[in-house]
Amino acid sequence: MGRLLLIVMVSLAAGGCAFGTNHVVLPAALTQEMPATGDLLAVRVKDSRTDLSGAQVGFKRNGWGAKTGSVELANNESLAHRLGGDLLAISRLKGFRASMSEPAPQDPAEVILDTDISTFLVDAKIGWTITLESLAVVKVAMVDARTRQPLWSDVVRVDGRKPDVYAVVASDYQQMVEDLYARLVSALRAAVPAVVPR
Amino acid sequence: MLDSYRRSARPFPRLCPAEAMRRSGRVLLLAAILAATLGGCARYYWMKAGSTAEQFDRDSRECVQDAKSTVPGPVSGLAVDVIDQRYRTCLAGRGYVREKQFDPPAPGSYRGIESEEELAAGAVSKP
Repeated sequence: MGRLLLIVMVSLAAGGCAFGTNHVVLPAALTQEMPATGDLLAVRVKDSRTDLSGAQVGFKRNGWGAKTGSVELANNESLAHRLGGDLLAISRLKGFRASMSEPAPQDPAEVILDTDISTFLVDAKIGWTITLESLAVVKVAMVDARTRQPLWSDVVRVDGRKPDVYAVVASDYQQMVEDLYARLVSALRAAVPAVVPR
Repeated sequence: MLDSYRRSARPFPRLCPAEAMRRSGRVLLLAAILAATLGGCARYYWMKAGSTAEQFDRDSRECVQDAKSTVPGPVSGLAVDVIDQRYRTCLAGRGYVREKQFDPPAPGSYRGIESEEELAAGAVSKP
């Protein structure tokens, strides 16, 4: 009886491989060649998440709802670095001669695309069943590189939900993060203007 | 005689396994009831030396507005957790410490936002 109780408690506590780190592999980043003409734009990405940083994109929880593990991007790639690469491609697709951070001093940027990752998180709500939830909020703004005057700004929010999960497995995290990231990039692609609003 | 007295006066006399299980079960049940009864009386309060209720109200209101501005849109699902986390980080950054206290709380303790409804409304609870 005692042994059975112990097995049940251990199963509850460790349910769904709640320990350790799950690595999520995102599809290949967008690539786009630099256009021959267009405004010079510098892409800057800041990660201002409070409880997560770097490659971490979510938490794993045990049967009691306590944080017991982490969900991270594969190869320890930081979310800011990955998003920066995709924003670079999006900006070039829109016709900007975009580069990461500060371009060469002899060829300074005319516009800065300031990006702030407020939230990017996948987490589990534990109840009778498990609900996997995801949320991403990213602020984007275009700033005149010389005058620092704001030219345009927007906030992109995407979220996802997968209810009635009985045991969370690695593929659930993979699916949630991949889906959230894909929809975030898609929303950013729709949001970033093709011309500098002056 | 003395030896027999010493044996009977042992604070934890040796019991048969069945009796020991029954007793430990009773102790566990009592502990669970006590925890459930007393646990309900304790609530979270924010404290900061030298602060006033007006100051806390202002800080709490500013922190909730700041937290909500980082996650625009409906305050539901994971957004609640994110806003709540940012709200607490903001208040902690202003020098407040969140601790569980039994009612009535110590002077200088203030109730912050602890529920999803309050967070959605951006209301500030009374001390």
